Amino acid sequence: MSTRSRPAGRSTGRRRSTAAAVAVALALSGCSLFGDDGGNASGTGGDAGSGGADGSDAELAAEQVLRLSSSNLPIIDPQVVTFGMWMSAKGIFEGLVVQNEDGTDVLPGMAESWEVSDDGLTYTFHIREDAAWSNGDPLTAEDFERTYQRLFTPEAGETGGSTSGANSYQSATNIKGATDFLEGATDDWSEVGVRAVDERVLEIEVASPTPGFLLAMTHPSMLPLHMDTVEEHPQDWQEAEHIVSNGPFMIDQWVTNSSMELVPNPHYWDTDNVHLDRIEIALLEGGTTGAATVPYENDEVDIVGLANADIIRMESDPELADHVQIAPSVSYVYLATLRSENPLLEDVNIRKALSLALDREYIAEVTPDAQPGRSLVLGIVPGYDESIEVNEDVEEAQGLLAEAGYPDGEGFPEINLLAGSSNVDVEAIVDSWRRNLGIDAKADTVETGVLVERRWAVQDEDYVGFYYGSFAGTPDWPTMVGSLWSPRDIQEFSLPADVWAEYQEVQADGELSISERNAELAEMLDEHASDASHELADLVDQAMNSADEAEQQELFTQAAQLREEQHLIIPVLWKDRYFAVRPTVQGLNLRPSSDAYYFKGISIAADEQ
Amino acid sequence: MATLTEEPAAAAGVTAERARSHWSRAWARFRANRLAFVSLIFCALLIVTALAAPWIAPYHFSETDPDARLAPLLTDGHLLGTDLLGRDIFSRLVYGLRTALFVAFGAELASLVVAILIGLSAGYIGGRVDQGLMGITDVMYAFPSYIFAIVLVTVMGRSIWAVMLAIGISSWVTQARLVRAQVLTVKEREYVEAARSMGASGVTISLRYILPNAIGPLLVTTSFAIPAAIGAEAGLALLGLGVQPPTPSWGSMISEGTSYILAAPHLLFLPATLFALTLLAFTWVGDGIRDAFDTSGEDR
Amino acid sequence: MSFMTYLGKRVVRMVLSLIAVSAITFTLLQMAPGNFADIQRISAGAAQFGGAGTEDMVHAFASRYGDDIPAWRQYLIFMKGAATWDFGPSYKYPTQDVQDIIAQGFPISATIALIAVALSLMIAIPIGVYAAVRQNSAADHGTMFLITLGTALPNYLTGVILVLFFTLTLGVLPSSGWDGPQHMIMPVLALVLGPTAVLARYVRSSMLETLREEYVVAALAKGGPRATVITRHALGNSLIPIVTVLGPLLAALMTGTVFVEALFRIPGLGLYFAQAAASRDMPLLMGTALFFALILMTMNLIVDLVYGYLDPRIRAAGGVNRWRRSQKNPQQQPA
Repeated sequence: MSTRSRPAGRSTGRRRSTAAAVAVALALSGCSLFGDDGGNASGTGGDAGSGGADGSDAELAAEQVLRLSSSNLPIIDPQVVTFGMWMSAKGIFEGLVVQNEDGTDVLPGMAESWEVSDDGLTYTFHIREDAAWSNGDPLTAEDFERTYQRLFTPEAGETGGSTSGANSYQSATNIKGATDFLEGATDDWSEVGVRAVDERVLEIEVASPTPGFLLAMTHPSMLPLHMDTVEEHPQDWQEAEHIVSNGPFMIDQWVTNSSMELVPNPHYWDTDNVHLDRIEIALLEGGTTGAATVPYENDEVDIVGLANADIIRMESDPELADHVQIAPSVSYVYLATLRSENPLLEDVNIRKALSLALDREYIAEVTPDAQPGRSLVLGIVPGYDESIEVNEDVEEAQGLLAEAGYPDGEGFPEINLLAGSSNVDVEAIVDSWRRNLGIDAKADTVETGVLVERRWAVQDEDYVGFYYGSFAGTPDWPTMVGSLWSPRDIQEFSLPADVWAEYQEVQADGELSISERNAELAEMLDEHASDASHELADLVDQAMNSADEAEQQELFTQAAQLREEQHLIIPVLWKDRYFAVRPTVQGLNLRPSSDAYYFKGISIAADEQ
Repeated sequence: MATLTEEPAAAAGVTAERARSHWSRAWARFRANRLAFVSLIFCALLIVTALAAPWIAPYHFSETDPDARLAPLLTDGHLLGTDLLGRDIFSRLVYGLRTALFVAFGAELASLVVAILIGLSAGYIGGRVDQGLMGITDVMYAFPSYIFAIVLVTVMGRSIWAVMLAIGISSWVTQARLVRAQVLTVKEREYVEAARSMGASGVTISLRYILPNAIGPLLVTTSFAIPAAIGAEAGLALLGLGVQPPTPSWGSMISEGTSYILAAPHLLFLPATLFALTLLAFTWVGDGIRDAFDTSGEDR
Repeated sequence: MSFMTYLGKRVVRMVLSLIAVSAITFTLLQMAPGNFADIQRISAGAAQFGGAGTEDMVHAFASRYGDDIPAWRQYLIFMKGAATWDFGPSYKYPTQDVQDIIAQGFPISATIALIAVALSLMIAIPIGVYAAVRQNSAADHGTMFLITLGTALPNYLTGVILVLFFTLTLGVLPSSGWDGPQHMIMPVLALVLGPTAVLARYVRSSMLETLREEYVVAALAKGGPRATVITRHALGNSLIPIVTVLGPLLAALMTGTVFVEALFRIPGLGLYFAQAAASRDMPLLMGTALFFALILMTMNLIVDLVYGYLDPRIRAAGGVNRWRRSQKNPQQQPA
């Protein structure tokens, strides 16, 4: 698998383009992005860890302490969608497998090896003999089954019994029966493809051959939990005094809203590759903005994520500019068509015109951590093909508008961009429509509560436009085509507004049983969703069931192209993640994943070089 | 005081005359206060600028200039530089002033109306009405005002009206109490008694005798409430609850500016300075008004 | 009216007001668009999920509040708990009960507020006295001018300037966090300015009034040393009215440090509250709103009692003073 080299940055982003080029080169040669721990990038067996101290030429500091700041974490339950689950994945818990250095494949984690059946449907994981919990308990296949039972049990993910966020399970993982169980369509656990054969063997069945399965298993939702503790302390099992974890680090102290301290887990199987004595994490509640670089420049933290203003600041200072490290994109910014009583945007050509008229170069330019995104599949997805991209063409866009009866944008209704925050890119999007099409466009920045209420509602006659959002996901085809803006989503978005209103009523109808509801919804989609969206569903279905890798990729590419041509969801930007990293921090591996890096393997050099 | 109805002419005449001399004395005292007078002129300038914003600002507040993004001070065509999108800072400051003053004056006007209505009815009617209305003000007084503002803006969305209402609602209580207290003192005065005995209605008495007496103290509280409201608007914006972007507000410019404190400091310091100056000027005017109306004027 | 009847009446009124506050807050929250689960999903990295299809993935408010329980019953359930100081777990911090969050966050806010007020008293009294004694001199005008600067500068702006100076220029103080006394300095300094200005003005005008009182004039006329007369006789009496402004000031600071807490990333209660409203965390919002109202009313009550105790003349005329106090209520400015 090769990584396509993406359009390498832009003139103003010299540093970024270099970094991107290096990233690509490293990825091609199978090396890691920022570490030197080559090889062992894939496959089964072998228990070499991920990365050693990258300290060939650096003396280690006496104090191995890493200082971080994080957005505040109310919980770290990996089964609930919050930022906390990524903290869990960074090194408090460890799954069956972990990601390799560049996030393209997996390495052994709690499983020392695994086999796939010939039909590609059954994975057999062998848990390592020395797998243990931080309290010394041995970690068994049974633990995984129990954990996954919690994951797939509807409403079980609620922590402390008061509320749940969204369940974090990724449907692209494709475990047999999981979604049915989760939706309550069945409550027979034996129908779910997770089985502990004995203490050390875990069998997982997938519904169909799933190319990204192993990588999907590195998602936080698939991390094991010490279920005895969870059951004993349903409300506060994650607090420092109770928590039992299995990752390289464990929580020593956790003061809500303030700080968290991690120390090495003495029972971890690979302590040789755990170098830090302590990780101090300042938990910072957002709220008012402030410059992230202030605590960094004041030497209060060692690694800090950078936002737009911070990137500008770092790059304006020649010395600080060297501290910037970039994790390639895992997220994209999209515009999703709002349903409206006004059918204007039900015309694909008008949607196309609006997409073609976006000046993505300009929008990316005002957004320092982004690059133009011309498809809903991230450029780093292996086998990415430019053919699926939206090709900006202002003239064609103007032509399309003229054909639809709006020459020079005359008489064209105002286009609204419904957004939950006043990001610069929102303004830039609106700006580029005004400029290129001569139409009225407005950023409608609303409070989050208003956004969640309005984005899927049918708007009034006088309100047409898109809502602004972003998605992050594992950069592989099944996720990018099958799961994020899945065929089902596209079918739903292609429904005429009145049908959509009805569809939502059925969704909310508590009188119906789950199977009745699903049947009714499916029928509505069958009847009213666009032909293209049905074709898309078929393509993705074929792709998911294809055993031949090349054919599969071809099918996914076709599907992506078809989806992008609907212009129901318009890609705008691909977002990278920028970090300021103190030069003394060694062995940091930034990956294109939402957790960004693992704590394991990081060490602190004695002095800056 | 214009004579609207023919009623105790003598009494009315006395009050009118007293009021007039009271006002002219106050004005003379105010003018003598140099700081207050200069501040007043500054405030007047601000108000004119806000009203004439579209003519004074060289650009519309959301107009971008892709060729001059993050321009520093004194850039050609952008005197005070531009932000990340290339929007002209000077223009945004001017429109931000407009937002600030519109919200502040609107909020205070609304709160004044509510305060007068409630204060007058409570004081004049008395009894159960008084108890009931003062009960409401008690609750509002116990309601930490910014809590109310936050919840209200959250509920109503971030329109300029919501912000105005949120700020207005949290400031009428004080004034209502003040009006009521005035009513209670004036109510028993002889000329009011006289007017009442001659059959003047409650509304007439309130408007002609009670309210004029309350104007002085009300003016003082209002003049202090204005800068407080400007500050409150910025505060709400700081919490992400201000007027909806891209409409500029000083609070949101300041809050955005804090993240540019190192990258482009002028994005923070320009709105912050102007904001502080405006608050100061209004406060000084308020000081001047209070001193001018204070009977023990020279003491303060 | 005996003292106990008075107190009893006040307490009854407080309870009624608290009920009203809770009802208003709850009603407003019910009217607010969006709900906790959806907002959580969109703001907490729910970016992971595709569009409407995931609506099927259930969100539930288990525990005491169910989705299917009508709003008025939710309110009653909440209030029943609240009456026994049990607000139940927060939605956003499900591992913690709201009263625990309050117990954790309030001391932090209160500490900062207390230190700030104490400090501003220490600054304001000498300044106020000095200005009063030198009435209408250049020194008087000068100090009062500077003091106004203090009222006009909102504390978050002061905070930013402090960060710029102490953290970025001198590099002596940490920019944010809450982990020791060094983290307290800048927040306290940011908060001191406003109250100092308010208090100094009060001290000055109150001192001026006292200086005109007969006994002071007499003492001075007898040729007593000016400094002694002022400190012995005038100061004590002129500080009595300060009590009236101190209460609301403290209450306002204890509940209203939200901007400073946000700027310096201090886990105080104000920050929790502001976010509770944004995330529609009903128990946390209701709990903090009630708690704040309780603090405010208690402060007012204490002030009235202390004032009555210090100055018996007032006891009868308490009503008049209420408006006088509220007129100068620093809490009016929600900062």
